[in-house]
Amino acid sequence: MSTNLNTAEKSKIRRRLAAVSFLSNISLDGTHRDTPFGCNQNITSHHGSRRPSKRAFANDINETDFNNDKITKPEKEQDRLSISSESDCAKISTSVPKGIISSIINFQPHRERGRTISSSNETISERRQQLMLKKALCTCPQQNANFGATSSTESLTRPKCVHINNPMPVFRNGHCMSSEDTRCIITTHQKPLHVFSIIPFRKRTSSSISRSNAKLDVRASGGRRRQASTSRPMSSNGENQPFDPFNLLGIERRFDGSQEVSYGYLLVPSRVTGSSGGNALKKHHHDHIDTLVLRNHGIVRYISHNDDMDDEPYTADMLDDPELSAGRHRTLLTFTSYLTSVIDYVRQADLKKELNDKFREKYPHIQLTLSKLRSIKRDMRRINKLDGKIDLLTIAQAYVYFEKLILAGLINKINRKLCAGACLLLSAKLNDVKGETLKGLIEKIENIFRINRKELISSEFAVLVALEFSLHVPTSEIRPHYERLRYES
Amino acid sequence: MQKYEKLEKIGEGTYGTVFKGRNRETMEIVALKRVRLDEDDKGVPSSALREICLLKELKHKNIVRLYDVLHSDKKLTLVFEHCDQDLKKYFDSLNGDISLDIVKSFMYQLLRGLAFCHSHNVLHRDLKPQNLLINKNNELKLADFGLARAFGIPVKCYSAEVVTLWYRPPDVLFGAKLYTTSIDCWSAGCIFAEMANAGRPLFPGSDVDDQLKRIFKLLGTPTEDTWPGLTQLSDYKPFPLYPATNNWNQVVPRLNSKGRDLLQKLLVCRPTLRLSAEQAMAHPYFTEN
Repeated sequence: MSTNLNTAEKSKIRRRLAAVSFLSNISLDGTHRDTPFGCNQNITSHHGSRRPSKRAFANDINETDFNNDKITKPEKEQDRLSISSESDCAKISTSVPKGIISSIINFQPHRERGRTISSSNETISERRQQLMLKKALCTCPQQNANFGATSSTESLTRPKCVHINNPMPVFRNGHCMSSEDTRCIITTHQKPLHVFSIIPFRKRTSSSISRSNAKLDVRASGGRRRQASTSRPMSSNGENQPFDPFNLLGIERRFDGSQEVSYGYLLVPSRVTGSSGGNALKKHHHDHIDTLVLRNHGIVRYISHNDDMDDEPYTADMLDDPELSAGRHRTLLTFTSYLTSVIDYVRQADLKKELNDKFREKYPHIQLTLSKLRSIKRDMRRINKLDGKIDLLTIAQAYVYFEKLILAGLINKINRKLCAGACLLLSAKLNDVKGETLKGLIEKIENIFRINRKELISSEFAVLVALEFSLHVPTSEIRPHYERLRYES
Repeated sequence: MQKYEKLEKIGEGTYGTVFKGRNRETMEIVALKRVRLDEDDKGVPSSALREICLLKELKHKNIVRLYDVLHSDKKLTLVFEHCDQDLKKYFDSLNGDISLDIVKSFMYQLLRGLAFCHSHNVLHRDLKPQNLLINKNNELKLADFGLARAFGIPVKCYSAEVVTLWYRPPDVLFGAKLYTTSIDCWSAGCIFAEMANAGRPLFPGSDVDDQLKRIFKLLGTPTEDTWPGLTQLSDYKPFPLYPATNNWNQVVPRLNSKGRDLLQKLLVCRPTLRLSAEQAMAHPYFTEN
């Protein structure tokens, strides 16, 4: 993330410079003879003009490498307008404030394109845009030299036009709320004087400015938001509606007026013919006339969406594959008498990303990342460390339940902690945990997963339904988890 | 409740109330076990949870069938197959006389249901006459799986507070927390003797000590020699060394020698030497005429 830091620093400097240059460019008499333009040159690299007073400056905060030749070369005023050449100009509006600022042009928010365009490969539309801009400013009536306010208001529209922000509030407020990532041109005497971007202040400044990191940033900020959502898992729907754990799991309940829901259709043994319960359910699905409940049912949905995985029975290594630990940074050497692995050093973050990518590739329908799954399993594990009475078998069995929910595509960011807690609770109840120990367990689940007791309790039955009452799972499904847990302890 | 019409109350279970009910569509008589959810701040009672999850997997003619689970915010209703009476009530109606063929039939059905549970990795852990249901066709069905649990991975965390005292095996009475199918086989032996005696319990102990004393007086007090590891059990304490009785004629006077042999092989203090349900089903007692 060093690039982010760099950009953060750079942009800080740039913003300050932009502000200083903006303020210092407010000339007293409109001639700009008394203003120090030079401060811009740090940013716009080289503006080797001989006549600073009539020079137009381009200062694109994010794009320092645009065509400088155009600005420095010409003597004619029109040519100076080429500062806008790089921009992805959308709509140009000129307005007439009382001061020097004669026009402020808001451009479309940055696009990747704008950055790469150089003078040598200007597109036709760019050229046209330049011309139009020139024309626009040239057609403005000549103003007297003493006061630089132009009275013309023109707006030029390009096909890619996006939106115009009213420039005025931008400056009145000092910090711009509405014009994020816009670029402004200040002109005087119909001469572009200054181009700058407005970057609103944000706490997490760094990467949000850097477009190259835009995607990463979205992910990162998503991750940060996740924290908030998990500590109050119901914030999304908790305010007005009562908490509905079934809805949270994507289960639509069918009320038959009596407010009692029948789950008799789930009471099909999962292991009669050695096939999975899903198959039995699926078969049942076909003879069931009222399929509403079934169609909405998670496991069925999972099966119908993953026909190729239909017959693949659950195994402990399916999701949390121990092989997914070194990624491609492991070289396996096979010799005649032994195997050996060379594990390269790799940055944690890179490895995590690679493993998560692999996981997502394997299970595109799963909304959880592998690292998140592993972290939540560690949290579940902590229960055992806090209370030895909750044995590893309980934890291992809860893992099976939780992973089955994940495989069914029922777990998302919002419900994952509630469901993990409910799985632990269910598993414990089937493992002779009762009385005070059970009370203690519920408290520990509340604390570790930062969830509300009531919601945990009401999620329990929903999770039970989502698991189709199949809590009596084969030993073979639990044992690998159990052995791994024992090995780790 | 729409699908089922509630009829009279049958009894109070370990949790909730049991009603007789009728399916409005098929007119079939069912048993409705009602569990209140609002009182318990621990969520679904584990007994109900066990019944739902274990009975889902246990479809067998000698195991009571769970037809439906009805859920609302306040209560959970388990809809079971209805049987006219349980073995306890059946005994009461006998007036001390029972057909030996019925004893054999019931015992076989009990073992068959139990073997099925065990083959599906389920321990019942509460076998007693009240939990064995008898229908009009003299079919016996294992019921009340509220204490049942899965077994498979041996961990020393199983509850020792299982099985009604009279049917509890000596290892569990000594506090064993790791047990297996043998726990149910002991109970089956106790029930076998009780059936043969037309409802007179074999070991009606008043507390754990009395229970163990009654057992040892009949079978002889086990020692570290006859049962290695006995003294390591958490609640172990020494008992007077009673000799084993060889007076089985008096214990189960009506059983023939093969029946007595089966009984003796089920009632073995050391759990590993106890006959399994499957082995018991293959006992000559069931193949003789």
